[in-house]
Amino acid sequence: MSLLTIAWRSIQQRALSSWLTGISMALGVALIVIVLVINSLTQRFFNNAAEGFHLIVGAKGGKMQLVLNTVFHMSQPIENVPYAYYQEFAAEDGEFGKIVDLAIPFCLGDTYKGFRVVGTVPELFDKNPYTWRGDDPVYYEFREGGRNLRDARAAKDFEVAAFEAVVGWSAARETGLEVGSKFEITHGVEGHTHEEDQFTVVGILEPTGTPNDRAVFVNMEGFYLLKGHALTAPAGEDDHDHEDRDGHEGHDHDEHEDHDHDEHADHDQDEHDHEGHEDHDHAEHEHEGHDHEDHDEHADHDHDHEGHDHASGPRQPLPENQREVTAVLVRLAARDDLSAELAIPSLIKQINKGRIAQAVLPVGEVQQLLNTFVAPTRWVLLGLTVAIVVVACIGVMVSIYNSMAERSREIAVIRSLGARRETVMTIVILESVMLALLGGLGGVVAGHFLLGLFAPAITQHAGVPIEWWHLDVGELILVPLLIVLAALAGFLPALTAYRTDVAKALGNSP
Amino acid sequence: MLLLQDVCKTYRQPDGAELPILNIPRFEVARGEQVVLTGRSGGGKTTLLHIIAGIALPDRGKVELEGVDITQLPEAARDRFRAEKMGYVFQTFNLLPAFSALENVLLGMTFGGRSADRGRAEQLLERVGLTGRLTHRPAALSVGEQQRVAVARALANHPALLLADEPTANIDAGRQQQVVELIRETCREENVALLMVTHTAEVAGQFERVEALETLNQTAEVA
Repeated sequence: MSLLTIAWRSIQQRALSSWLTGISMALGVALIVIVLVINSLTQRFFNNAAEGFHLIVGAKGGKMQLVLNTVFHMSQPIENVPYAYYQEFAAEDGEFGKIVDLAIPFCLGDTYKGFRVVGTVPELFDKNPYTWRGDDPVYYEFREGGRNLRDARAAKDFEVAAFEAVVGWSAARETGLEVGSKFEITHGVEGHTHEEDQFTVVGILEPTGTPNDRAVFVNMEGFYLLKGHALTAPAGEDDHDHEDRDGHEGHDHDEHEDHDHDEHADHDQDEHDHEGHEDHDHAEHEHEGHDHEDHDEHADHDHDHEGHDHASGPRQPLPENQREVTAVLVRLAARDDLSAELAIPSLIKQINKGRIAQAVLPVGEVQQLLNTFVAPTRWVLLGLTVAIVVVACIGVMVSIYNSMAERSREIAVIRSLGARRETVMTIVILESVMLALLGGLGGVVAGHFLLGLFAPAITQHAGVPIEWWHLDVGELILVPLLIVLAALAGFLPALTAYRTDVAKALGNSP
Repeated sequence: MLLLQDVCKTYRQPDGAELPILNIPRFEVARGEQVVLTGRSGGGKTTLLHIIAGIALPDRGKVELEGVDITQLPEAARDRFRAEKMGYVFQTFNLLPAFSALENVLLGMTFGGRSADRGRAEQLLERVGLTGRLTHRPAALSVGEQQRVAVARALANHPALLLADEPTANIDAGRQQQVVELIRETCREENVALLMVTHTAEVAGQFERVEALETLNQTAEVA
């Protein structure tokens, strides 16, 4: 008969006490598992979110803010950069075109039922892997019946293609949007609704575990055509006469009081009242050289870019000199002589030296974010949970130790049958280890069960997708740690067993 | 086979006074011999059995079993020697309550250096009439059945000597005879020497050799 069997029988003998001790241990371990898994998934969520691109280019301002609002769809957009600057990355003959593999524009500032609306291009979904499994890129997939946005400018039905939208799975689930649904987006977070134009959902994304699950993506071409989303055409250009629309339509700054417009030399703020910019009624703005009520005087004006003159014929794409983008997500091409990663520092330096934009390393910013907010919390929570396990181990010790008095005769019998002192000591330590192990394994199962139970609520409130089956490496360390702690906890009662006076315990009396 | 020479044991009382318990100049038991030891309560019978079993050590003297002086063995070796060479039947049986009858017998084999022989354990339980009670725990067995399990456990390791400490003390008079007969028969079958302590004259009367501890013991000289 093995010592394990003897130890197990002893645990069975004290069933109630063993159960209570085991449950106490299981609760402690379940708590640790929940903390570890949520922490691990949060870190993965943050890290995954920054995958796929080497750089984020946006207006000068806070680096973290740029990452937060482009990658995580949080915080407020800083400002915009000219479309022409985006073209420096996107166009092959652009300043950076040769070293850029992919440049995805993001136009931000609007929302739909609290979810960020991103004006972008189809390439975001079909040329950009959202994560990697080993060396294999993982691309976005659409739920059955859905599809990607289209290149509206190349489409025959521009007006239809421009107002198509793709919705992240979480946003779709919470807003009730389905393929075919039509919706109007809100200017800013609580601004007016763009009632004049509706977008049609053409695709719902499969879950990705990234912040994009909680965003609504619309075709950038349609985004530009929304009221208040176009820049005024620069003076002197005949086909663009809105000379003083000077950028306040940058689709966000009126809602964002913290913007420092002084940083943007190309914005003429003096001519606008940003505070009262609730409805973008052009009549409220001073338009030098242009009168909306006097269109006859400007027969050659192209009003389509303003997005509110639906009656004047088929709508055309907004001219590029009236466009801005909030950010550009850049993936560099690997070259023969220099890998993409090696080109990053010099490119960042080059971009940041200019007056127009800044470039940030999303991975670096995310890491800083994690180090600033997530890491300290992790240590606090881990400290607490380890304390719980230590307390549970002390519980095991107390439980076994208290049983030693009543078990002294049992120990003496085992000794009289030939067991050595070390053997009975081992049996008691094994009891402790088995209790901790069973409680621990029960706790791991319970922890994952609870995660599964509360995963939908956590995902809904925190935005972090929770996979109940996710196994954190800490859990693998947890079991050996429990064994060591339990062995230590069992040592004191084991020592009592070791010291048992057999003759006395067997009732030796003269 | 068993030889005790000049075995002395003295207990120290709480007030510091010494209480001599045993002073046995010589005591022998031959292989397969069955000896009953009688004596008054508190006379040192259990102490003597503990000393023979190596559970307690004498203050001085020699306890030899099959030529090995167990008093000279280190504790671990003594434990091992006891497991291999001796069986012990307690007055209160001392079966472990969490173990079935079969497991209690197997437990007796666990520390003897051989692998537990389930077949032998079953055979022994069958021999003591417990064929249908192998999986029952002590609480589910009658007192007589518990004692039979204790006998089977004591013989599990093919001992050379079986020590029985008042094995009939907790059994009603009607069954005492059965238990004693069972122990004696199985010891005969296994060629195991038997040293049984008893208070009961009827039990003692069945043995060819009856030793009174008072006769063996010369504690007055120690004192």
